[in-house]
Amino acid sequence: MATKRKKAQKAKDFVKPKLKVGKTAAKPDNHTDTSFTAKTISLPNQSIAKKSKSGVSEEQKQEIDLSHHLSLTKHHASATRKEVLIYIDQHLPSNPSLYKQIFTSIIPLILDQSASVRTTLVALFNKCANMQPGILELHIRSIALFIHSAMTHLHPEIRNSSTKFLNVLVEHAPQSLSKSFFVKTMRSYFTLMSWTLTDDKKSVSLAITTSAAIGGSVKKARIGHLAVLKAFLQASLFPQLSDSAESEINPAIVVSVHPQSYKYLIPAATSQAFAPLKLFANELPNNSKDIDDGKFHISDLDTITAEDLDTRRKVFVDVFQKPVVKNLNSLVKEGGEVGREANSCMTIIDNLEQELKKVAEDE
Amino acid sequence: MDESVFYIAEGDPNDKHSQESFALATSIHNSQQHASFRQADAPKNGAILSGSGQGERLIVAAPNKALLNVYSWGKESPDQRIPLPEALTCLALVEHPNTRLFSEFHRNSEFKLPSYRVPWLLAGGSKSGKIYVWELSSGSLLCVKEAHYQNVTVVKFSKCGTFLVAGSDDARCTVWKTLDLIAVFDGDNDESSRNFKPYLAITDNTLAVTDLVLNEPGVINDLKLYTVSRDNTLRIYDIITKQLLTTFILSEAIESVVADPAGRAVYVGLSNGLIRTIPLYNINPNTSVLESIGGNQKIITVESDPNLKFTFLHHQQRISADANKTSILHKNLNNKKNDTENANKPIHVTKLAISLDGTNLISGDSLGRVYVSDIVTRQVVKTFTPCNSPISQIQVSSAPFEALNVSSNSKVDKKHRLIPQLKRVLTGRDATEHQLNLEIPSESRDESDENFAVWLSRKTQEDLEFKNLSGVNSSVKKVANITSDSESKKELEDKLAKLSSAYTQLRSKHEELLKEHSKVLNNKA
Repeated sequence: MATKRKKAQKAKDFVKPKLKVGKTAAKPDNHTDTSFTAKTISLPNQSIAKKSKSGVSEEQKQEIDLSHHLSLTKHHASATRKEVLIYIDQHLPSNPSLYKQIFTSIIPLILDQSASVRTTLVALFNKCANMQPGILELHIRSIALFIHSAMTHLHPEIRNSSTKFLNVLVEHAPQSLSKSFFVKTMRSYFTLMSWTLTDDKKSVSLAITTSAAIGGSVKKARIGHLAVLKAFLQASLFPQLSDSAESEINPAIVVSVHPQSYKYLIPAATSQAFAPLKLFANELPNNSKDIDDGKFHISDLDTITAEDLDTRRKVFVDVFQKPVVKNLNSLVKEGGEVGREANSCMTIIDNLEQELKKVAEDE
Repeated sequence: MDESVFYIAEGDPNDKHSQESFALATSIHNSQQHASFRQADAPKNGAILSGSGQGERLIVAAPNKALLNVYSWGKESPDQRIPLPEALTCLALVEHPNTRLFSEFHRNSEFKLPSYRVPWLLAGGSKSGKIYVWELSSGSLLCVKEAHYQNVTVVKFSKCGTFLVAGSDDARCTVWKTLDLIAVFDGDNDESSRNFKPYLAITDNTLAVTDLVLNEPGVINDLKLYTVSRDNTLRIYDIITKQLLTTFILSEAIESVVADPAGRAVYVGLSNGLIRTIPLYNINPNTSVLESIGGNQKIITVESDPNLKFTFLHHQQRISADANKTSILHKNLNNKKNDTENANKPIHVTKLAISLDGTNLISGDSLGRVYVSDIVTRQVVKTFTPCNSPISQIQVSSAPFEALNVSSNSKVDKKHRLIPQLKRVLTGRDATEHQLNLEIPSESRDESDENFAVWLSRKTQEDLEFKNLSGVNSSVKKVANITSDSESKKELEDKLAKLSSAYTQLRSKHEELLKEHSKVLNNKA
C-alpha cells in the first residue's frame, strides 16, 4: 500500500500542469506576495516646497533652494513650471553670479507649450533686466535665438506670444538687439506675418497656404506683432539719443579735455559691446555671387553685419522696405485695430524716408 | 579669429609624477578645446606659452625640480626635458624687437610665418633669488644675476623688450634693462659688465610682491608698472621717470592683478576670493568732470563695495566646487579631516587675465576653477574644466581659426621641432663663436594670379622706396593732357568768367557786410 501511494506521489511531480487559455496560471508553491497599497506617493525631487537641511548657513540654503527650483523648470506639469517661475521671480538673488544658472534654465521656456508659463516668463525677464542692468545684453545671443525660433514656430500660440519676448528686448536692450540681430529679426517677422520677401510664385503660394491656416486667435495677435514691429523699427532705424539706464553717462554735462573722451570709458550698462562686430565668430563663407550695384540683395542677408545705423537703414531700404510697405498697406485696408497699428508702422517708415531725403539734400 | 585661454595648475603635491595634472587651451567664444598638455604642472607664473597655434611652444618649469619641460602646440606629452642649473619658479619670454616688428607686419601679407620659430630670450627666476636669461635660438646662458634675497615670484618683459621686471618674496621689485642683462659680449673687463645695478629697485612694499603687470603702450614713455603685494597694496609706477604714481590700499592681501588693455581700470584678485575692479578714470559726480584717479603719489584707500558694483563674487561660492570635486571615489580616498580642512581654507584668486577687447575677465582660483566673466555685468559667462590644484598661470592669445586647429599633414618632425638644449654655464665672451641659425620664411604671395602689370607696379614701388631718401613716400601722378580743342577751351573760359564774376560779387557783398558790422560795433561802443 505504502509503496503504491509513494509511486502515485512521485508520478504527480512529473505531470505537466495543464494551462488553460484565458485563465491565470497558478502561483508556484514558493510564491511570496510582495504587493502593497499606499494612499500617497511622495517624490521629494519634484515638489516645490523642499525641506531645507539643518546646519547650513542662510546664504547657502538660499542657493540650494534656488538650484532645486531651477531643476524644476523642466517639470512635466505646466502648473508647477509656472509656480517655479513665480518663486524665482520673488526670490531673485542680489548676487550677480547666480544669474547665469537662472538664465540657462529659463530661456528655453520661451518655447513652452503653456501660455501661462510664457506670460509669467515675460514678467520674470522684465524683473531680471531691472535688477541687473546689462544682463539681457549678456545673454542676448541665446535669448534672440529662442525668440527667432518662437517667431517661426509650428505651434501658432507660441508664435503669437513670441513678440512679447521681443518687446522685452526692445525695451531693455534695444542697442544690442538691433546691432546684432536686425536682419534676422526682420526675416523672422516676415515668416511670422506670413509675408514674402520676393514675388516669385513659389514663395507666394507657400505664404498663402500658411496664411490660410491662420485662425482667429492669430489674427488678433497680429495687433501685438505690429505694435512691437513699430517699436523695433523705431529703435533700430533711428539714432537713440538717451539710453534707458540711468547709470549711463550723460554726455551733455561731462567736462573733459576732448568732448568725445567719455566714449572710451568702460560702459556702465552695455555688456559685450564689441560682440556685434563678430570678430571671433566663425561663419560659413558665402557662396553666392556678388552683384556689385551698391545695393544689398536678399542673398547678402546672411553675411551682413548691421552694426551701424547707416547699414541698417540701407538694408531696410534696399531689401525690406518694398515688401513691408506693400503688406502694411493691405493690412491698413483691413481696418480696425490692425489697420490702426499698421498705419502707425507706416508713419515710422515715412519718417525714415523723410530723414533719408534730408540727409541726401544736405550732401 | 579665435581667442584661446591657456591655463595650468600647480599640481597636487601627493601626485609625485604629476600623472593627474593637465593644462588646457580652450576657446573663450565657443566650446572648442584647442590643445591639452599632459603631466603639466608649474609653480605660480612658472609656465609660459609663446602663442597659440601650430609651431608655438609651451615652456614649463617643473615644480621643485631643476628641469624645464617643453611642449609643442598640438602634442600632449612633453617634447623635451631640459636640465637646468637650479629649479626655477617663474618664467618670461620676449620676442626680438626686430623680428617682432617683422612678424607683425608680415603675418598676413607677404611672408609666411617660419615653421620653426622661437622667441628671442627666456628669463627665469629661482628660489634663491637669481635671474637667469637664455637666448633660445642658440641655447646659450647669457646672464645669471643675483637679483633678490628670496624666492622670485614673477618675472616679466615689457612688450617692447626694453625692460625686465622681477618681483620677489623679499618684498622688493627690480626693473632691469634687457641690454644690461645680455651684455656678455661687449664688456672687456669682467667686473663692470657683471656688476651692473638694476635700472630701478622698488622697496616700497612691506610683504611679498605676488604679481605684476606692465601695460603695452605705443611709446615707451607711457610704460607703467602695476605691482600687487600681500601687504594689501596695488602700486602704479611710471618706469621712465622712476616715479610712484598711485598707491591703492585694499582690505585684503592681493594675489593677482591684470590691467585693462586701454588702461581704464585695474582688476585685482584678493585672498578672500573676491575680484575688485579699480577704475582709473571716473566722472566726478559733483562737478561732472572726467578725471583720472590717483597720480602724484596719492594714497587711495579702496572703500568696501556694498552695492557690488565693482566686485566679482563667483570665486567665493564653494558649493559648485564641491559638486565638481566630491565624487564618491574622491571622498573615500581622502579622509574626512582633509575635506574639512579644505573647506575652511580661504579661496584665493590666484591668476587673472583679460581678453583682447577688454570685455571679458578670466580668473583662476586656489581650488583650480577657471571662469570667464563679463566685465560690465560681473556675470560668469563660461566655466572651464577645473584643475585639481591652485591655478598657476593663465594666458590669453588670439590666432586665426586655421592656425589653432592642427592638421596632421602640416606636422613637423621631431628633429626640426626641438629647441636647443639650454646651457648650464655662462657663455664665453668670444662673440665670433656666437652663431645662430634662423629660418627665412618663404613668400606667401600666390605667384600664379599675378600679371605683368601688377609686377611692374610693384617694381616701380620698390624702385621708389630704394631711391627715396626722405621719410615721405610720395609718387607723382601724371594726368593725361587734355586735347585742347577750341570747344573745351571756350567752355572752360566761360566757366572761369562765371566764377570770377561770382567771386567779385561775393567779395563786394562781404565788404559791405563788414562795413555794416563795424558800424554796428561803433554804435554800440
